Amino acid sequence: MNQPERTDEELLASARQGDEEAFAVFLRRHTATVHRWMVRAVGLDDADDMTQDIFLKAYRGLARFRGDAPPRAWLASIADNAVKNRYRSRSRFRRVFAGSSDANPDLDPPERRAGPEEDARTGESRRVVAEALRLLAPEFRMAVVLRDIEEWSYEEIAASLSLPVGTVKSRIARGRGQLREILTPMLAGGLP
Amino acid sequence: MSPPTATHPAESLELLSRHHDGDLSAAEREAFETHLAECADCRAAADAFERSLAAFRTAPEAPVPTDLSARILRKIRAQSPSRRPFGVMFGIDIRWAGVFMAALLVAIIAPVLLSSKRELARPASAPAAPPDSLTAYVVEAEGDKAAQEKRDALANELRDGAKAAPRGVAKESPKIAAKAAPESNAGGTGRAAQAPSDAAAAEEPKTRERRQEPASASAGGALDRPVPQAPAPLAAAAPSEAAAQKKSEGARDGAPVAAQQAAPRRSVAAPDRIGGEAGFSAREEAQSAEVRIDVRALDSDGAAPDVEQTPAADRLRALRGREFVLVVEADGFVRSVEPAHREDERNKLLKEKDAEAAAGDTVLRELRFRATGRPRRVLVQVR
Repeated sequence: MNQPERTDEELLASARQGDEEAFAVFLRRHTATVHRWMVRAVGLDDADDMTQDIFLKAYRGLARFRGDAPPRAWLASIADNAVKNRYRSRSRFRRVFAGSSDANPDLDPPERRAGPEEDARTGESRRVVAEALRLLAPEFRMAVVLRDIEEWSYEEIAASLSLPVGTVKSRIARGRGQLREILTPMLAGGLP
Repeated sequence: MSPPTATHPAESLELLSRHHDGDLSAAEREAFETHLAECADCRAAADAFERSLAAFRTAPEAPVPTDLSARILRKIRAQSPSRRPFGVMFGIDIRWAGVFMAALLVAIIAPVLLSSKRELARPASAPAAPPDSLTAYVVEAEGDKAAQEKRDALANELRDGAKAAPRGVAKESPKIAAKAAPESNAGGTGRAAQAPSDAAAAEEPKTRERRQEPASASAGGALDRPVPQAPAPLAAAAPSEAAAQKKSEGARDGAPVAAQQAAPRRSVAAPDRIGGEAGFSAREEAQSAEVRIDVRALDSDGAAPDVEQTPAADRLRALRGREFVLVVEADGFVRSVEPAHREDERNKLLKEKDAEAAAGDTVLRELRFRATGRPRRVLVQVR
């Protein structure tokens, strides 16, 4: 009854002691947030599965949560690794089965199969942004999402991703630059 | 990231990004914004940067599936190996597994118990019914002189009471003492004489067999020597004395009696030597000299065949506490004898194995079983 009022730290501390209900409360509290991250980071189609994977990893990694960073930063680090692993394995798959040389988004023509004009005409701005995100390098995705969607501070992001603040600033800048390169033609084509 | 140039600072993504985030110092911001006002290229670059970010940030939110949390929780509970609900191990709910194991145990034991009960309930006139799967034979020796004296004294006391008991079977075949058949009601001197199977069995010498079922046993034949060995012959000899004897034995051996009732057995008094005459004793007196053989069928052809002849007790005594696997020929003769041990005991007794096997082979080959018409494999435990 009092559990909804407990802080994330308290919930995770209880969950580490085997209190499944505490983890369930934590999960319900953050499901929408993680799902939002994943919609931006990997697209709507895979967001549900990725959200599930992230919470599964969190549950299995409860013992490793020391409380050094805020629980949501810990979740973000798990999400960042999950996103990078997902695209790492996907690019490996492409190299093996499709002969693709790299996951470099700029060299990945299949992702551009849908023309921006067509997307703009149909008003599928969500899908266009998702397409743009798929072209974004995986290592930039969570940094950009946390900064531009969640509006986290550089320091928070640095703590989540275990990176120096300067590296975080650099990654955010480069990720935004890639977004500009990807989205500008789409916007010029009439995307609202 | 494009390196910044003196002419077009907006080519620097980091400058644009920090400007967007308000991370520039006041001097940096003022210099950059002054330049933007004068440079169309940098203004265009900065505008494109801001528009793309705005498009990214304002893209419509996707609805979160209402059951996503519940689905994830189910997945966690189903897959998490380290924090399963209580009672779940290796993906198996051990509470249900326990119920299943109990049911399995009952399924295994029930046929054995039912088989034993059928044997107990078998009338004396139906010797062809399947015998017990586990049959115990008590092999006694006459070596104990003091015990013999006590037995004789007791026999003398009982002889008068036993006079009325029918002895025809025993007299016809003096080496067969008794072959008991279970009775639902104890006593009854007439019952012994009414058991044709005993008459038939009486033709087989050397083996004295009785069912150790004090509450329900009656003798199939009278004693060739009227020395009471156990309640069954006594019951056959004289109902009143049998009842008294049964009562006294029950008082003495309450627990063993109960145990014997739970596991029906037949006892065989064997001669001191092969072919010799069987000796009998009161049960409590014979404890020290008693050697019991438990016979259990190892094959799937039903209960173990009846033992009709045993080796001498003093020879069997050397095998006490050991188990042997016997292959019995169709005609009841022992074809082979192999020591039977659990695996750990087998290793432990490896050195003794040869001697033990030789001893068991020599002695247990003297066992004779009732002919069953087919080879059988039985486990013999000597106790």
